[in-house]
Order: sequence, then C-alpha cells, then structure tokens
Amino acid sequence: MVGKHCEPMKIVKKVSEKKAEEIMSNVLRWGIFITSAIVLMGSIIFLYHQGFEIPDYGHFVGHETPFNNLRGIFSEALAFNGLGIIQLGLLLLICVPIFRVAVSIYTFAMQRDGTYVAVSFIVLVVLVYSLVSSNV
Amino acid sequence: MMNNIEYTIVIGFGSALAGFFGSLTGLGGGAFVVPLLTLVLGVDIKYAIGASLVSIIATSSGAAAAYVKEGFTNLRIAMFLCIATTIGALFGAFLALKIQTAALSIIFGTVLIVSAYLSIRKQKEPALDEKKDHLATRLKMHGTYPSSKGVKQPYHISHVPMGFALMGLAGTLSGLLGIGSGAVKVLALDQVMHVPFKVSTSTSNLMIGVTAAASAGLYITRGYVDPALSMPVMLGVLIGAFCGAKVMAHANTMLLRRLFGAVVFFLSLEMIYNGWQAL
Repeated sequence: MVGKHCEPMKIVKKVSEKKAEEIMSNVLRWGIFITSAIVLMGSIIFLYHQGFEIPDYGHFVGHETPFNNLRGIFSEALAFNGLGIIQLGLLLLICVPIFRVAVSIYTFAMQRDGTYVAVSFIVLVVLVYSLVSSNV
Repeated sequence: MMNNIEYTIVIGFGSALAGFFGSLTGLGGGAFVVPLLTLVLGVDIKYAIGASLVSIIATSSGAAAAYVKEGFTNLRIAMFLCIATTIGALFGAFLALKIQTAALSIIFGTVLIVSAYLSIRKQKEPALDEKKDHLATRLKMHGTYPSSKGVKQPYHISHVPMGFALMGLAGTLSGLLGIGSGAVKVLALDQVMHVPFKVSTSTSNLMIGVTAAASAGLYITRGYVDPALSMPVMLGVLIGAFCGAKVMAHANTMLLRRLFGAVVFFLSLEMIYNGWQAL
C-alpha cells in the first residue's frame, strides 16, 4: 500500500526533472545565442570604425584599459563603442554558467534535495565572489 | 603588421579550426588557441589566456545545452566536484599573478603535453556493476544514462575523495592557464571514479564552463581579456565547435586524436622552448 502511494510522487519527480533539464538546455542555448549576437554587433561597430588601425598585442597593458571594470565596460557600451559592447557581451557570457548553477539550485529544491541545494549554493557563492570581488 | 580586420579574419579562421578539431576529438579548442596566438601571432600570453578562457565558456555552454537534453550529464557529480574546481580556479588565478610570463609559457607547454598524452592513450570503459561505494551512495551520485538499446543503464561510482582532489588540480590549472582542463576532468571521472565514458564527457563539459566562469571575472579585472582579440576567438571557436559536432558521427575519432595530439605535442615543445629562452 505504501508502494502504491509512492508511485505518483515518483512520476511527478521524473516529470519535473525532465522539465528542469529542458529549462537548463534552453537557458544555455539562448544565453549563447544572445551573447554571441551582442559580441557580433559590437565587433561590426568596432571594425567599421577602427578596422584599419593596427593593434599591438605583443605588449601587455591590461591595467590601462577601460574594459577591466564594470563601470568602464558599461559606459563604453552605452557610448556605442564597439569594444565596450563586445566586452559587455563577454561579461554576460560569464554569467551564463553562473545562471546555470542557480537553475540547478532550483532543480534540486524542486526535488527536495537539501544536500544538493547546499552544494550548488556553495558553488554559486564562489562564482559570485569571483565576479564581485574583482569588479570593485 | 596586420590591422584589426586582418587580425579578426586570421584569428577567427584559426580559432574555427581549433574549435572544429577540438570538438571532434574531445580535446577542446582552448588549448590549441593559446599556442596559435602566442607562437604564430606574437600575442602576449596574458591576452591569449584571457581570450582562450572566454571561448571555453562559450563552447562548453553550447555543448552542454545538447548533452543535458540527452540525459547523460550527472548533475550531482558535477555540482559536488565543482566546489573543488571553482575554488581551485580562484587559487590558480591567484597563482597566475605570482608567476612570471616566461614560466607560464613553460607550464602551459608541459600541461599541454600531458593532457594530449592522457587523451590519446587507450582508456578502458569502466565496469558498470561496481559494488556501491558508501560515500557515493550517501551523496546520491549513482545514476542512469540512456544506453544505445534505449533502456536506462544504471551505473555506480566510487573514489569520491580522490576525484575531488583531482578536480581541485584541474580547477587550478584552468584558472592558471585559461584552459578547460577537460583531459584531467575526464580522467578523474572515468578512470578514477568509474563514471561511464558518455556520462563523464558530458558531465566534464558542464564543469568546464562553470570552472572557467570562476576565474573569468578575475581575468577581466586584470585586463587579460582584450575585447578586440577575444571576439574572433570566441566566435571562431563557437562556429568551429558547432560544425565539428555536426560532423562527429562520421569521424574517425582515434585517428584525429593522434593527429591533433601530434600537432599539440610540437606546439608544446615550442612553447616550452620559448619560455625557457625568455627566463
């Protein structure tokens, strides 16, 4: 009798798991598509304005660029600077796996799996820390 | 001296090739991109690493989208081990600051050779009827995957602590060198933890993207990610990987791996040599 009562729960679990996987897959697909479009748009603007300039990639001057902090990236992007838009797209790209982990937390919560809600949350914290501690 | 347009075309094409062969052989395009940029185009390794890391996030997420639907990815194993990889990635990114550029080149070349070797040698498919490991059971890591017969094939895994430690190493390498460390991850999964091949490949794929995201934020802050340079790499590798996945069914994977491995081997030697000269 207990077994019979469990069956519907199992089916509900399987369906929501499938649903979660579907959401996950779509999130990833759309994430890549949208960020690629942004990067592409930025690159067209960039090449249109600066296509014939000659860059120097042999010397590292990373500390002097406006593209290494949130404020710089956003202001350049809003000014329709192609490079700013590209960097914004790349920033969003980094958010895709982070979002994916967040969706996992939700999936595990739906399955009432407290252990893995905690596990995924720890991963999320590390990811957010990396993003936040760097963009001061 | 090439201008931006020329750089974009050359790098885009090279990255597409890297992504194509990387996805066909399962060896990842990122590792091929860094030598291409530094050896052939004279790009500073820091910029190369930044561009590579970003492209890895793109390809990993793109591939993961397909794998998750098929039901091969073990989310619990992935999330649990990602604790190790993400912390390792932070540590690796921190280490990258302390290591001089020339040494980075040497380390990169060495890791590349080891990864290529690991990917090429024969692996034995893990046995499916392992006895249940206590820790793995408590962590609910055993799972099923859709077998070719259409039936759900159950599997059990083991050696979780060892797998965790190896993932910490994989994460550190990823954060230090901007690579996916796919070879190490897959090794840890199927040879150490006895995860079946298909599950280990797709689970590793998911983990690669998450791990790369962990150090990417730090890379951007340090200015390693140059938008003009990273853009053709990201788009090129994505397109190449996409095409590679489409062609996958018709490919002789082992032959391609050997070929890719040989090329990577020589590139690694050159990177080590260059680094040694600059020390």
